[in-house]
Order: sequence, then structure tokens, then C-alpha cells
Amino acid sequence: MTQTVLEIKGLKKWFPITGGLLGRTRGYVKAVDGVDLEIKEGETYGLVGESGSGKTTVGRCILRLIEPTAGEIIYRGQDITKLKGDAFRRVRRKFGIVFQDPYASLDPRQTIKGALTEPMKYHKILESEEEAVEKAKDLIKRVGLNEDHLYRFPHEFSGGQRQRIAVARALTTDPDLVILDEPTSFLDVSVQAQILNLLSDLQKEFNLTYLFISHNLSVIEHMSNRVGVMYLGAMMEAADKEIIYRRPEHPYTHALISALPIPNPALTHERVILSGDIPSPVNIPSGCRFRTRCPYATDHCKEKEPPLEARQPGHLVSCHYELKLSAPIPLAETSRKT
Amino acid sequence: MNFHTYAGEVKALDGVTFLVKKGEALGLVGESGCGKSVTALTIVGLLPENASVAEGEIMLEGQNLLTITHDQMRKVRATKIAMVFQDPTTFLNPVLTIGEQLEEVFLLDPERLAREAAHRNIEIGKEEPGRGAAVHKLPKSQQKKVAKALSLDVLNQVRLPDGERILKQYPHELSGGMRQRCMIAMALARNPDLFIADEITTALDVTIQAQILELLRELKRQLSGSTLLITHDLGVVAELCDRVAVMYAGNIVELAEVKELFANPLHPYTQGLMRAIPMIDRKLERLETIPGSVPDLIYPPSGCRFHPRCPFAFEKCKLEKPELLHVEKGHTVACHLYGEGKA
Amino acid sequence: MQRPSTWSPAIAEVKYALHLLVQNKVVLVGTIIAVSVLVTAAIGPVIISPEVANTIYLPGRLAPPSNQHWLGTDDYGRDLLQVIILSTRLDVSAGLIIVGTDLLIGVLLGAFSGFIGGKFDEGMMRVTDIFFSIPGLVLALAVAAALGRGLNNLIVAIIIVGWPGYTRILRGQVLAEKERLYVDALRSLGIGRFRIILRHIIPNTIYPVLVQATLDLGGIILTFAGLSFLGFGASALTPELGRLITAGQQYIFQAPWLVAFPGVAILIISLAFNLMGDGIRDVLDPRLRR
Repeated sequence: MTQTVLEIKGLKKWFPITGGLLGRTRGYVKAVDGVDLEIKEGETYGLVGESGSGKTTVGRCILRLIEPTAGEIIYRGQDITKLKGDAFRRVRRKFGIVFQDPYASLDPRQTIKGALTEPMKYHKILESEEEAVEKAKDLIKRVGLNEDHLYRFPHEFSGGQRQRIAVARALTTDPDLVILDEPTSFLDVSVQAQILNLLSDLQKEFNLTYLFISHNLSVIEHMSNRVGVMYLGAMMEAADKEIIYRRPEHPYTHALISALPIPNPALTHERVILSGDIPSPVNIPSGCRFRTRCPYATDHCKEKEPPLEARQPGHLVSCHYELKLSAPIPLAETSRKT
Repeated sequence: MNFHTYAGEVKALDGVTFLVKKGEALGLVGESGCGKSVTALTIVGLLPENASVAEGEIMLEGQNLLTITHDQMRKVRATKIAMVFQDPTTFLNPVLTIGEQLEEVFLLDPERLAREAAHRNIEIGKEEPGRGAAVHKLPKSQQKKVAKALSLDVLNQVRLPDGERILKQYPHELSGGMRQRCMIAMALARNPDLFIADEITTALDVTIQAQILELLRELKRQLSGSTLLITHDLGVVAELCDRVAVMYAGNIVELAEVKELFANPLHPYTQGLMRAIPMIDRKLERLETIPGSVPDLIYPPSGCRFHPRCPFAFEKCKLEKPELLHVEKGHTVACHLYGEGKA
Repeated sequence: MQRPSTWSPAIAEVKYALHLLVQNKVVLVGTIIAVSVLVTAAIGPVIISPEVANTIYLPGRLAPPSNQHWLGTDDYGRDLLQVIILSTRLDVSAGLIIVGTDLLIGVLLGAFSGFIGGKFDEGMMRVTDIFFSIPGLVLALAVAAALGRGLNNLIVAIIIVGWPGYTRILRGQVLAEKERLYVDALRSLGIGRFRIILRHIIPNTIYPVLVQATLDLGGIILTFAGLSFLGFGASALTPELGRLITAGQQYIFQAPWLVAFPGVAILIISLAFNLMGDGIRDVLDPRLRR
């Protein structure tokens, strides 16, 4: 039984909205509103959602770049939400993160060598300058760049190269779990392919566990083992990749997968088009938050929020009804078995 | 066409040739920096100050857009071409209501308003009721009335049935998807012959994008104009376009009907691109990548601009730039592999 | 094909800035004059012995400009030109010390205040508010008077008045900078706030403050000379431009050059630095909006 690296229970992050003369709290932006998930060692957990889903906020809460409002974040059995100071710093080293925007995630005035050696020296992982530089050289080569790139500045690199540097930087503290927050969204298709391949290779080499956050369903399908689908701050469905993409049971997952434009004009399929827009996280619909756009919503959905429950082992769904939904995407060969 | 910058001359477009047939949707695909947006901006005449067109012509129904006067160009932009951009927030004026902005567009073509007024028998006051062809311009207040009626029509066309209310709203009060529809409405308002859409679904969420794609499909069926659809997303292209042109580093490298292109990509770049996309259903451990990166257009590679990254490159590719040649059934490629039987 | 660009971004910006700077004629003139002033200040006491300031030769006093004394002599018989040259060093270095110290204080306080926020920031804002509510010159006068006469006291007084300005500017920059993604990246690597502020935030936000400092230099020199004129700071024989004017006041009708020339010197110095500062600001301004 593989170890659970990270478990999140009931995570909430509410941002207060202040207003009025007295600066009272008028309401909350409920970015994350009760999220559970579990990531096992060595796997890639894909977290999918559209804007307002809260997926990026989840990533930031794990690292405590933002402090969670409620809930537990359990890293290898230890709740890290309450840790402070040195104890927390020691745990933080075990996490790595690659951000979405390669043009903003590096200090423009720092050389790559500086960017890579700084965390090592700060955490006293490696004492001397020489050792740190050696390791930096090693890492930079491992991500596909050259040693002399160490002495350059971020602005001299393309987006794809900067992401490689970001990946190298994430690895400087020998992390366990790497959070990838839309790492390829800003990159061109061909560059994206290079970076995704790099990430796969590194995962095998260093035995890393990934939390891959993205809105791009094709990328998630390619990279993930398990997938969690978020909507307006909560988890709608979580299961192994095959199930999510072929036999989803939540209507949102179904619509999401079917909405994907397929780069193959020979295949056409009936698309599920959801009506209306995504509600604002300030005004989350009562009961089931998806009901305003759900083609199957009933009055009951207005009253009670469905809990996230396991329909089968490993397949969690948050819906009052057991719906039999069609395959969301056309299958290329008709002989494919379900 | 080139950009003049402090760092050097950026040779952005290096001989781009294509045509858009009446009523069809042509997709212009490529990665960032390939010049697709720049091509569109050149057509519409909205290039920044440091840009200049070195040579070439852009023919719209017999008129060369590169040689006409500013005033003529403005008229063309008002009535013949409409362009819609990726980011509706910067495109829509935040201090005007949607109604006011739509009105602005309609008021650009007073002759049309007069025609519509007669056509719909809209009250135009006590003077000269329905004199049709003789009345070229209505008084301002009447123009606004007609404009409003037309606005409601066009909002309906983009599936925003709550037109009356939306006309009174400001852009920030609407969601991203709705803003995008308003932008499309403003483009349709001109009844354009050519509709240019520059990455209009890129910034949208997947489910909203699906709505907009559905809308565009509908509109394409209903309207007679042509569309130039610029995108980097091959999925969108497969959904909407009749023909596709693939661009790389300022050149068109392949052009074909959409089914043909996907079934039988000829240019090595197109092939590489298709293999690099993660597609649901393809069980691949690793994606195939195109080695190297997009060239610096200040010092572009000699000959074929793709040769440094091409797995099939040979001597000629370094020396001579390949021409766009017709291979079969409307499928053209710019590659030495297919010229003069050199495969 | 590689473009040669392994300069640090700071150097590349400076090169581009200089390129633009050269294009504005007025600013160019100002900058050239400012640089000449700095050179004069540096080498002045080297080519002209400081002893000249202390050499009193009463028979030759109050002589009008002539071939021997290009700018005439003052009431101690000193050659005015030589004294003025010697004074540039005093005034310019006073200006530099004041602005430099204010920068140091302002940058450190502003950066920590902006980054850490909370009560410390609140407190700092109130303190700077208090300083802002009193007109600078008045405050400087008051402090100078309280501290007593003397050059050092005057310098301290002006320093005390000047630091809140830089603090505020830098704090504003830091508030924006700390939201940037690379700061999140550093924090997620576990790097502490101290280091982030000193090694990352400050180098990235210091530009506008440096520009403001160059703009202020002219004004500070003027203030320093002005307060010296009023009697604070320099004593009788010390070669200082304000002091020279004080001394020359009484002879304004007999020997107007005693007031005119030092006055013009102050004018040129502060105008030159102002123009240079203006130029730097214009050139860097659009690029400051990052």
C-alpha cells in the first residue's frame, strides 16, 4: 500500500470583503470552500477547474503562501497548518513549486546561479559555495540547459527555458512533493511538450510526487494518474484518470470533458453546452453549487449540498443523484473497450 | 513587414500569401511570434508606429488596402472588415455602456441606417416618410432609434436575448463570456465582409469557450461573410474552419482544407506540431517534441526559416527559401521536400 | 545566432538610459555642467590650497574684478574665484552626505515598513505624517537652532527633515513589489523575510528613489546654502557659498560682486543637478512603470 504523501481535509480559504465606513466585513470570497483530497507517493494528481474553482488557491494554501481559514493539511501524517518557525521551514523544504508565469517567477536582477544556490545556502543544505555551485550545475544540466547559463540573467531566456530554470530551482531543496501550478499555460505547444516530457522524466528519476494544477484538460489527461475536478471552491468528482475522462458521474465533469475542442475534424460529437456563466465565488448558490448550470438539477439540489462520497473505492462524487451519463468524448476506434 | 526596434530590425513577415474565399472560414494557426496577429493587424492597418510594410499587397474586393488613404481605410474598417480581439476588457470602453458602444458603431454608417429605417418602416418623423433612396441621412435622433433597433437585433444574434437590459450595462458588469459576445456583436454590427477573430477564445474558460464556439458555428451558417480565425489551438481550428494556413516565423508553411491537413500534414513543422499536442485518447508516455526553439527574427535563419529544427533538412534548405507550391487538391506546402519531385 | 547580451539588467538599462539621455539637449547641458561641478568639487582643494580661505590680506579687500582677481576679492582680501571653487566642495559634499544618509535611512525603513506591514508599518506612517505636517524649512531651522551652530549640526538637521520622503516613496514601491510572483517563489522556497527584503526587494525597487535623490540634490544644496546664509552651519572664514553671501550682504552697493558671484554659483549648481535629475527621471520614467 503506497504511502500517502499529502492529505487535505475540509480546506477552506475565505477572503473577507470589507466595506462601508467602518470597514466591516460585508461578505466573503469563498475561494476554497471545503476541499478534500489525497495524493499518494509517486503519483501525479491532476487538479482541474475553471476560473473561480479555487484550484490555484489550494496550491498556495499547501505552501502556506496564503494561510488557510480552516481545514487540515497533512503531510506524511503531520498537520502542517499549525507549524511555525524552524519546524515549518524544515517541512517547507520538502515542497517544491513551479508557477504559471515564467516571466515573473524569477528575480530579474539575480543570476541563475544565484537563484539556484540561494535556497541551498539559506537552508544550509550545502555549506560551501563550491558545493552549492556544483549541485546547481548538475541541476541545470538535468533540466536541459548548459552550465554557462548559470551566469546569465532571466531576461536572456525564453519562456520555456525559464520554466526549466524554475523546475531546477524547485528541485534545489530535494523536495518530496512538487506543486505545478499551470506550468505550461503560458508556453507554446511545442515548448509545452518539451517541459511535460522533462517533468515526466524527473518524476521517475527523483521519485517525485506531483500535484498538477491546470485548466487544460488534455495536459491533465496526459500527465495525471488521478484527477480531481473542482468547481467554485469544492471538489465535484475525484477518481482515476480513466474514469474521469470516460465514465464521469458528475454532470460538471461530463460537460467539462465534452467541451474540449478535439483537434481532429473527422470526429464530431454531441457537445454538452452548459447554460449561463460561472457564478461568482462571493455568491455561491445554495445547496449544490453547480445546480444553476446543471441540466439535471431538481428542487432538492437547491436545499442541500451533496457531500463528497465514494461511490466505488477511489471514485468520489459530490452529487445527489446517480446519473448514467454518455461518454463525454468520442472514441477514435469503435473497437475500444470501455 | 518589419518592426524597427532598438535591438534591431525584426523581420516579422517574410512573404505571406493567402486568400480567403467568400463565405469561408480560414484558420491561421501558429505559435507565438509566428506573425499571425501581425498579419491581421496589417490587414486592418493597426500596426504600431515602429512597423513598416516593406512590400506586398492586400486586396479586399479589388481594393489594395496598403495603398488607399487614411479616410478610405477608415471607411473600410467601418463597413467591410471587423476585428475582434482576445481580451474583451481592453477592447470595450469601460466608461461607456454597451448600448452606447454599439450605437457608435452603427452611427458610422448613416446610409445604412437610412436604408434600414425605410426597410423596417420605422417612424422617421413627420418629414419625408419612407422616401427610401432619396434620403441618405436621417436626423441624429432618428439615427439613434434605428441604431437601437439594430443593436437589439445583433445582441439577439449573439444569443444575448436580454438585450434591453444589456444595452444599459457597462462592460465590467458583464462576465467574460458575455463581454466576448458583445465584442462579436459589435463586429457583426458592421455587417462585415471579412470578420477577423484574433485568439478570441484563448482567455475563456473551457465551458464558456464551448458556448462561444457553438455561437460562431451558428453565425457562420447564417451569415455570408468570410472569417479569418487566428488561433494557436488546433482543436478550435478543427471545429470551425474550412481551410487552414499554418504559419512559422513569418511565413506560411502549409495551407490546405481542414480535413486534409489533419489527415495528411505535409510540412515537417505541421507534423511536429500535431505530434506535440497532448490529445485525449493517445496513449503516449512522452510527447514528441520539436527540438530547438523559435528563431530570433532579427537574425532569422537563412533559406528556409525552419531548417535548424527540421529533422529532414538538407543542403538546399539552408540556401534557398522554399516557395508555397501546390501539391494536390488544394493542398499547398512551402518545403523543398515537395518541390520539383525532390521528396 | 546569439545576441550579445550578458549584461546584468541594471547595466543594460543604464546603457539604454544614457542613449536616451543624450538625445535631450537641455538635459545634456545640465548633466555636463553637473559633472563639471562634481569635478570641481573633487579637485578644487587639490589645485587651490585650502589655506587660501584662511589667508587674510586686508589691503587687497573689496577689489572689483580685474585681471589679477577675475571675480574680485571679498572683505577678507581673498580671491573670490578661488574661494568659490573651494566652497563647491563643501556645498556639494554636504548635499551628497545629506541625500545619501536620507536615502539609506529611507530605503531601510521604507522597505521593512512596506514589506512587514502591520503595526510597525502603521507606526511608521504616523511618524512620517507628523514630519510631513511641518514645512521642511521651518523644521530644519528649528532643529538647527536647537542643535546650535556648526556645519555638522546643520547637516544633521537637514537629514532629519529629509528621510520621511524617501521612506514613503520606497514603501509605495515595496507594497507593489511584494505582490510579484518571484517573491512568492522565494517565500515558497522557505527563504526568510529579512533576506528577501535586503537581497531582492530593495535592489528591485530602488530606482525611483535614486531618481528622486538626484532630483533633490540641487534643492538640498540650495537649502544648505540658504540656511548657512541665515547664520547656521558655517562660520565666518569657512569657504561656503551661503556664508559668502552673508558676508557680502553688507557691501552690496560697494561690492555687488560679493553677492552676485556666489549667488550665481549656487544657481548654477542647483540648476545643473535639477536638470540632470529631470533628465534621468524623464528617461527612466516610462520604464519605471513595471
